Amino acid sequence: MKILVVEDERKVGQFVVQALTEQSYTVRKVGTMAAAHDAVAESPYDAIVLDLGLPDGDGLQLLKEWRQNGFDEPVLILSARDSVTDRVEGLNLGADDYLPKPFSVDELLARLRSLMRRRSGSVQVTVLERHGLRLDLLARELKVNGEPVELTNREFALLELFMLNPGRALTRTLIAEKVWEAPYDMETNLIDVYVRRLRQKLEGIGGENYFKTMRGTGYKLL
Amino acid sequence: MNTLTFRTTAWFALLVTVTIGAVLGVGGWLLNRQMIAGLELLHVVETKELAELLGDDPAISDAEVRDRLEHDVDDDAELFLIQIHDTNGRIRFRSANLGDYILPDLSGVDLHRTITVPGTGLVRISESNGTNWHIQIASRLEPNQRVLKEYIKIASLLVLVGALISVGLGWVFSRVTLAPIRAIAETAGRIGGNNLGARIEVPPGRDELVALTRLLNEAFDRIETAFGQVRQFTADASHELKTPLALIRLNAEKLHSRLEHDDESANASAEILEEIDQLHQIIEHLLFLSKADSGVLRLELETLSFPEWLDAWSGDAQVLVEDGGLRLDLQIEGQGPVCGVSSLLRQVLFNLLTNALKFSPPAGRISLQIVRSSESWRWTIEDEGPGLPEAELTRVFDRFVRYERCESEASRPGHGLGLAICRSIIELHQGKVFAENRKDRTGLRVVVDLPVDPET
Repeated sequence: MKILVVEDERKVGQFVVQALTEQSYTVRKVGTMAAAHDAVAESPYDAIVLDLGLPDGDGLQLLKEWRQNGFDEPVLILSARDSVTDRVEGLNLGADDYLPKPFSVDELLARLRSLMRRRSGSVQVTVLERHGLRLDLLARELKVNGEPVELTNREFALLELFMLNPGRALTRTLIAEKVWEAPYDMETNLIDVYVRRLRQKLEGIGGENYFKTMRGTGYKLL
Repeated sequence: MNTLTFRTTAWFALLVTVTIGAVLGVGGWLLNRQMIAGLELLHVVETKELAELLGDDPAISDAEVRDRLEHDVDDDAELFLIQIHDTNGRIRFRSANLGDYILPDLSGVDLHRTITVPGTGLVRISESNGTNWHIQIASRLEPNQRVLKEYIKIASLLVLVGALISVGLGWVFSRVTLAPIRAIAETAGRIGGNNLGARIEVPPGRDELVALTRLLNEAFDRIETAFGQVRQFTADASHELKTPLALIRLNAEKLHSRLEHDDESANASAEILEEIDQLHQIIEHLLFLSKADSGVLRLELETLSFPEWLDAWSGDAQVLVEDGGLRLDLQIEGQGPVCGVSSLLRQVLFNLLTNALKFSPPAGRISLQIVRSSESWRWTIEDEGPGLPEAELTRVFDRFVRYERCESEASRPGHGLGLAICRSIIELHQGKVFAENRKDRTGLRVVVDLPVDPET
């Protein structure tokens, strides 16, 4: 898997490169629009991480050019701009995902994985299983150790997200976006409330610890 | 603008009508004077005729006087009332049409006068004081009055028609003269935070309007520059603050993952991560508020159908409140769209609910009413907490204002921008928000009025 990182902040770029390399991705990092332009023209990538504020212009311009020229690599925008509208503008121009700075490396990895999974059109999973949990996505059914458990729609979507990313820390930003399709608002602790309820429901039946709270990051399905 | 059109029209119509009225009034006065002058001229001629008939000898008998005058007087009986006395004041002749009435002697007073004769009405009387005879001739003014009455009737009609026409003309006139101003206002109205590039077209010529247009365009140039600077500043501030924050976060994460075996260090690094999130949120909120304040925020407005929009969130609201050990009384009434940004309105809803939760005593009740009135949706959120001192009610939506609600409150403290953001969002939606203490019991009531989209 080859990933292009377009980021002009040297240290941030280093972190991203290191994290991706640790996950055994092949990474190329460039720091300007011109270099990114050349890199994409030279060879195809499986995903592109694109910073918007580049020294020689706006990353959105680059994205627009790529989409116009038929380069359809999945693009994840990594940006220090973060108003709702900037996000909408990026997605409208053809970005596949948008991650605001400051970000968590775990979240960047989770999003890239989901981007590439979507692109590669990997076999659609219909049943997710882990530690005695069995989530049937078609029948919309959960069984814990064979016992059916009732879930509300939100709880189902939340568990589905966790079961699609087992063993990985999911940030509240990501959870809000995937389950609520809304930006994360720190003022309310709705996500914590839902995770707690889901936890209590599952642990009450399964008697096991399914989730781990990652302080300062989010939650993880063990 | 409309009132200016109206005022110009009204003034124009008033002036034209008053002018027409004044001209016709003067005309009437002149007509009346002309008619009376005509009568007086006739009187002079008739006096001369009578004087000739009477001759110079005042000693002739009354019968002789009657004899000399009778023929002529009878011929003009329709026109004149005649009375003649001698220099001693003795009446020597009275025409039959005078009846019993004796014309007053005007000698020494004036030559002509208007008086009322019983049974005849108003008359114009002229007196000529010759050496031998004082001849008084009076004519009825009734025909004059009839002519004047007709004149007034016609004049009033003319004034009325003039008034109507002048209102019409005034309207057209003011519309035409104010058209460039309307065009200016229209363009100026279209120039907003999202459309600062538009300029008012400068009309040809070198008049006051051209000067005004130029001035306005220059002002818009300056505003556009200022907006651009604010946009640039918030973008720069955003970048300059978040890039180091990103690095801090990445480093803290790295440390955190390596310190997992050491509880104290893991705790400390987790706290750093949490504080970074707080700081991030504060930066976001401040940038939002500064953009909203300066009008540079671009909103992706969409039409949200109420109450369907709420259905997606009411379940979450229920869960949120129940998790706090409280009960949510939800009441939704009415139907009608709201033009707004879904994510922002949702943020308001949950911020207000979270706020009510923080205020509430354990096992209390929170009531959320969302009711449509004719022009707006009113959200009313009530808690059973202690409420607020009256003086604080208006300050509660200010920035960085925080209240210690319940001493037992252990959850994450807010940074005091949540309600300020709520107000800002509501105002961006042309709505209003205010807080008051409940009257039925202690507790705070927060009321949001959101206009119903008028276009649908």
